[in-house]
Amino acid sequence: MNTVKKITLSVAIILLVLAGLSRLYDFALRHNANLKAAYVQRAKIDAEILFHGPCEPLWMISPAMLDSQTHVRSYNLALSHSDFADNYLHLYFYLKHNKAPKLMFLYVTPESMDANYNTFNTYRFAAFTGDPVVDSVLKECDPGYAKWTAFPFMKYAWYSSKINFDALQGLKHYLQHRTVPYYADGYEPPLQVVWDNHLEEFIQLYPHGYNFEWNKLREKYLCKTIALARQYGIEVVLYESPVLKEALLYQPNRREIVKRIKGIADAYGVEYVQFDKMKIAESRKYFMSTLNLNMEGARIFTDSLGKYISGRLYYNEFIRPHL
Amino acid sequence: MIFNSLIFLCFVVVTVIINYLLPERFRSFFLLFCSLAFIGYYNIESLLAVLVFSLFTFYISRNIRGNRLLYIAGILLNAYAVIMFNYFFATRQGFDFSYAAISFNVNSFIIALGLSFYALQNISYLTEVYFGRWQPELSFKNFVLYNSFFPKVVSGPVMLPREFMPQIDRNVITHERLAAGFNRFLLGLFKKMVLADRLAPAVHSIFDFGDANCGLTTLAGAYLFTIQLYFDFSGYTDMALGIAKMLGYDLKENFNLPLRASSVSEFWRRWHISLISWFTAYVYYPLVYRLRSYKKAAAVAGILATFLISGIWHGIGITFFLWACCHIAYLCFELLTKRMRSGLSEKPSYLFYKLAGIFIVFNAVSFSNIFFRSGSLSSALLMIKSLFSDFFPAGWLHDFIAPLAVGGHQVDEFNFYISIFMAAAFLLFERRINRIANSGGFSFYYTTACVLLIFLLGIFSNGERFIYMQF
Amino acid sequence: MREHMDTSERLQQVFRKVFQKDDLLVSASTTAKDIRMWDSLTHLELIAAVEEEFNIKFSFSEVMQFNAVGDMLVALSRKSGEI
Repeated sequence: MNTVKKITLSVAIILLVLAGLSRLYDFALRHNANLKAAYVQRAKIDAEILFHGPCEPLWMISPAMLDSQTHVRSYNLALSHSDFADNYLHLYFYLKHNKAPKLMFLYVTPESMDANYNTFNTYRFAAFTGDPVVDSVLKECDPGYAKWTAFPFMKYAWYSSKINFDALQGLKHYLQHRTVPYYADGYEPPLQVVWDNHLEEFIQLYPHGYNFEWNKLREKYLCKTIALARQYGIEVVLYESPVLKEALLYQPNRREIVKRIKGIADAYGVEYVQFDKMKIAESRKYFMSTLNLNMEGARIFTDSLGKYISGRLYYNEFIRPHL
Repeated sequence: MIFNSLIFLCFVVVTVIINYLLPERFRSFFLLFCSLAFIGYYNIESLLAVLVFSLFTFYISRNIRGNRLLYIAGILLNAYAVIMFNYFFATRQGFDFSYAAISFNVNSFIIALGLSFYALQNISYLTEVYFGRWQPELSFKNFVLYNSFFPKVVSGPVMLPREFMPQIDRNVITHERLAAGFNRFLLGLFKKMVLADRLAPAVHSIFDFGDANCGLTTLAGAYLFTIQLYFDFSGYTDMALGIAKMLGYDLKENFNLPLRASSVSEFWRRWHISLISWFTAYVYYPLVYRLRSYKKAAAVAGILATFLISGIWHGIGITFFLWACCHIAYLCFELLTKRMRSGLSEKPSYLFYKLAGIFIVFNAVSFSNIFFRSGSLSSALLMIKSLFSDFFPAGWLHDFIAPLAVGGHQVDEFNFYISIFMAAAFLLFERRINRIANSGGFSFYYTTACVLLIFLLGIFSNGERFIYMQF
Repeated sequence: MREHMDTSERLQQVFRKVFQKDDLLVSASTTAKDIRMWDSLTHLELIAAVEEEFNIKFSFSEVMQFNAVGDMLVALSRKSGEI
């Protein structure tokens, strides 16, 4: 075989294998029950209440615990490290396949408005490119990635260290006919439950405090998420779980940013609830980092949240209709 | 332009094709243009620096024969430039110099791309001309090309005038050379994307988080850094040599299976060869020649001078000084125990001796690399402290992996094991792989396998975008 | 006794002394690769011993060009011719 033939054959085989792998990954990832993006598009969840946001709601709010108090079924849609664009797409996936919930709690803090905290996790959406909504968000949030998606397999290769495992797991789930995720109600207990020293590192880095930077893209997707929910008639509540008091000393413009968030909430006519009066905010023994409560803290917070929700549902059902 | 970025790939393809099609006499002009464009694309200061240094060295070299003052001035200016460059680097980055500066993570070069490499070349050029061993170059174009040739400008290999200059006006590009260059380039890409960058998160977690890990974990981190550094730097070199070959140039080999060295002096004959042979020729031998009547003491003085200067060349700071001290100690020890070891090696248990030697050298080099990689003295000391404490804590067999698999999720462990497996498999079959990568024909299995593995397991997104996200 | 030994034999004695191996055999074609202990760390120690034995001095560029024992023999015969 001469060289030209060999090169042609090699290129052809590479392209063929990549196209094949692309199909296989598409299939496998869509069957992975542990990926929320895939799971909410396959299973009927139809919860009455959704919790949404980054790791704080994910690790704090256990629907199993809450539902026994409120007697209403809820689902935790949150994902770690996620920003509002990430949240927006997950809500979009959820609503595509499920009945719209009555209430959605979206976690919003000054941190969520700052691009240094959390991120858009492109790889979670790799299997769902081709959908115009997904494509437009990808283009805006990760343009370096978006321009590659046309090339065979490149949408998976780009973040291969994040995706290979999920694809294999998806294949396993398909072969074992598994449809229920490891964490069925979406709540994930945190891996680490002791104080993680991030605050100390933060202070070392910014001894004179850190001013949050307002990010326009975050603002845009916060608005889009609220708008999408309301389009489906969902009542949106923006909330902030207790924040460790001593950390506030190092965040000079926190109040100002909170004010801007309230401005957005007012513009959409939704509520911004801060659980900042809770006693647990004053002691480190309930926290594992500035924003994350530990198991004990989360239990106390969930209890308060449950009371808030019950009150709200009671108001909606029995009081508001008569006003 | 990072070597494994798309834009660089396009740049290489276009350059190779045009260069191939051009008549021979235009090629050096074209390559000079491409090289300057490459440097200018990085930043304009670097372009100015390479032109100014070339101009200066070029002109003084013409009058340097027998003019000792001019010679010393030329050397001092080039040496001063390296020191200032490293000093600025140290102050701007807070000693966060790390291996990246000698690898091809060009983001870490702030002031002038490749300056520490071409300054060495200039010093050797001036020396050769001063002592009449090399005729001063008549063409300024050729001299600038010698300094700025883009495959080697970022991180070497350091080429002596006699190794590079004669190639400029006689380069013949055959199909065989194109194929060999391509194979070599692909090998480098594979080493960088599939091996080095995959190991980076584990190394990052051990060296940069400042946590006190148990001894075994720290040891694994130090080992992995040595392996990562090897793949990163030799991967870069493979790409540089491959590109140069496709353009009609043979650059010097920089690595020769260094992790299989069974003594530290052998290690230095196999690791960063072009640099160490530069130091041997221009620092070590001249000094030891003068002191040779002191016998072993002369060699000790030579080792001392060579590695202290090499330490400064790598970066200004106490960590690089200590790194150099480690190697000075190793080499002096080897020098003084040579006879005893030579007796050992000829016993029937030669294989055992050899394997033990490889193991000891790998440990010694990894230990010195703790200083090389650590951002500060305190973090290096913290690592060494944890290296010698609590080596096998309870449940170590499972727990010692966790800090290496950053993130602690199943997916992180999965990635970690794949990285280890790939690196180990590569090291085991390295000689065979290198043979294919250096062959001058298109190899169907090699190419297809490399490309597919890069797609399946390579790190594309400029390293890991997510490992810094700790919130 | 010494006078009867030819240059290469004397050179061999020097090699044996420097590398401390009594059964070492060297010929004109022996290179640094053949003697495990002969590397850049010991090269100049060897040169110094040769210089002492033959009572001559090598120049720096000569020293740099010694790749094999043969090179050394050529230089030695040239030097002894000069004397």
